[in-house]
Amino acid sequence: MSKNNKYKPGPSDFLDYSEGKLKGRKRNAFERYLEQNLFDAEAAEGFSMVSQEEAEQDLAVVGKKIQGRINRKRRIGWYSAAAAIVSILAISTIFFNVDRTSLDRPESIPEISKGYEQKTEKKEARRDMDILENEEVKDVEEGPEQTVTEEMKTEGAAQISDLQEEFSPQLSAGADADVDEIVVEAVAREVVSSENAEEDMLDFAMDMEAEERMEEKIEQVTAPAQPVTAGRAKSSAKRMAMEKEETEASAVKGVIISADDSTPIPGATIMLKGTSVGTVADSKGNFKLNLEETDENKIVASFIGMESEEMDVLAGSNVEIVMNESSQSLDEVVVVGYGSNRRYDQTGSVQSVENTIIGAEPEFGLSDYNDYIDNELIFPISEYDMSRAVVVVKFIVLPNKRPYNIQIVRSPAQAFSNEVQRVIFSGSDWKPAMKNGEYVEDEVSLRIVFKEAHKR
Amino acid sequence: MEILCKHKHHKHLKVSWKKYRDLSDAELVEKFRASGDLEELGTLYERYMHLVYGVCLKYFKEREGAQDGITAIFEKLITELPRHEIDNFKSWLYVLTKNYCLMQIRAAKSETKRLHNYQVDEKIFVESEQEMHPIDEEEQELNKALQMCIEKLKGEQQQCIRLFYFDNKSYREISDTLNLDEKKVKSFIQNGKRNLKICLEKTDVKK
Repeated sequence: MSKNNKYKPGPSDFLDYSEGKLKGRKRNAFERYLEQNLFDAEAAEGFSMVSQEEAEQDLAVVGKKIQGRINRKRRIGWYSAAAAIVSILAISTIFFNVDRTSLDRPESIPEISKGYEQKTEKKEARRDMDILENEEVKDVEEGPEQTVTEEMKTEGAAQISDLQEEFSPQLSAGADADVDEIVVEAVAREVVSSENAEEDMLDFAMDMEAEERMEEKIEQVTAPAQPVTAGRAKSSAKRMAMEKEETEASAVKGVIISADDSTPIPGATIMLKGTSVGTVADSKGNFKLNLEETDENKIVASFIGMESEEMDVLAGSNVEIVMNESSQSLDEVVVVGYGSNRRYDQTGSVQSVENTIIGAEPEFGLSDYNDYIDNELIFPISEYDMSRAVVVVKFIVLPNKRPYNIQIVRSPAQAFSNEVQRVIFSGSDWKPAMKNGEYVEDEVSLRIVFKEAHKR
Repeated sequence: MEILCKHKHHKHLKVSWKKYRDLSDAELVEKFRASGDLEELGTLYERYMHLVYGVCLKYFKEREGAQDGITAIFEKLITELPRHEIDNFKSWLYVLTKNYCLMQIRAAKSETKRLHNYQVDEKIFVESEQEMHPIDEEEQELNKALQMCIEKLKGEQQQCIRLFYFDNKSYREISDTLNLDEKKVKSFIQNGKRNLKICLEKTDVKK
């Protein structure tokens, strides 16, 4: 069967299906399609609630609305384009007339914001970033823009080279050079950040102002190690300096691998023994853990299904930790619940109501929930051949039966966290906890185990 | 196996579909991202509008809300689409739609102020494309391993799988034949598929 004729049902098929008009093989084909396409499957459930006429009507009505919306936007588009062209002509005349080193320039830039569409701003900001990276400026689609951007390009390049000139004669000690580089990087960062679509031209102008002010201050400053005052630039420079300091402090680096096949173990926990200081290995099994000031530092590596490994380490060293599979058999349960008010009171009929606290549980029971998760969970595609992963998640069950504030306590990688949040969020309701016969909030912890079977 | 080829042009939107009809979803996404032209987005949306409608219907259980949902989600697309890297438009639209529906329901139900703090980050729910289960592929030539694994399935699972995939019977027909609830039939098929997958992987490992 050729792949070109791939079955792709349309709205009329949905209506036929729900009205029972599809029979036999055709019906089966449609259902098989639904098995593979969750979006269509859910939509089919919705369609079963309306008649053919109703659905056609609704879709037609909405279609008109959206068409109208599209037409309206296009009209506005023309107006903005016209306004933009006018502004461009105005600006380019200003640029030609004004002296390049004048500080008044940034003030005129805000006028640009009036007519520009968002995407035009994006293009300009991106162009400046290209300059800093010494790349070729990409071709501009609309002709009139070119005059403006070329002006800005030469201007931007001039400012950067000015800055660098200012820095180089002042480089004395190696350490100072670091700080200076940081400041230049901070400048680059500022311009890069203006690429954000939401920021308007005004912010970009402020960045340029920051650059200008930095030029000024650098001339005034004698000790080169003193960074400048432009608000954001200073704090990001400081931040970077601090980060550099941290990496020099005593830390141990390493990689965790499995004994069987020397593959890394992402998500393995590495703790400083006797403390609550720890970290988690990344997707390549690498980790970095800060150590204490003492000579003796013991780290413990652990991972579900593996035997824990202890190791003495020295600051600044690089270690390789090999973990063996645990001889204990792994439990078959996918979900284990820990309610903070965990007591499931089975003998409620005998005890008096006043003293009972019943924890929250899934509406149809934990075993059913386990089945649901088992069916629904999808093992995220990752670079490494993980056969098992555990995510610990907690959330609050509100009296309205929904999980609230789903938080990941422990997880090997973001993809697993995302998947767990998804299944819980679209999962069944939870019977709220009851205290003394009244519904109360309850925090529930679940341990969700990803297994081979979930690789679909 | 009959060739099933249906691609009806849904003329609910008057967009000049001739221009864009043959472009793939990914191509239309790129075009829209570059140009910001709503007509391109409209063409793309038109392909899946009925699915958005269906899902909204399912959650809101009434037509007005579903209609509003379609327009609201279109508006969301305009701002959100350029901001994300999207591998598969249909999956992403599904996530967007579902989140919208759940948020609407939550807003309607909420009495406590705290619920307003709950933020649904669309990124959280991005699903990777479903991997094709060997049995769902249109190829009817099943290799020996699959045959063997099917035979290993338990009674009702095996029956349902055979009727659904080999005899091309619908859920309704199977439920009549075996005297089971339609929901049970679906459940057997899904669990059966899962067991087949496990069994196939075991035989792969042995090789």
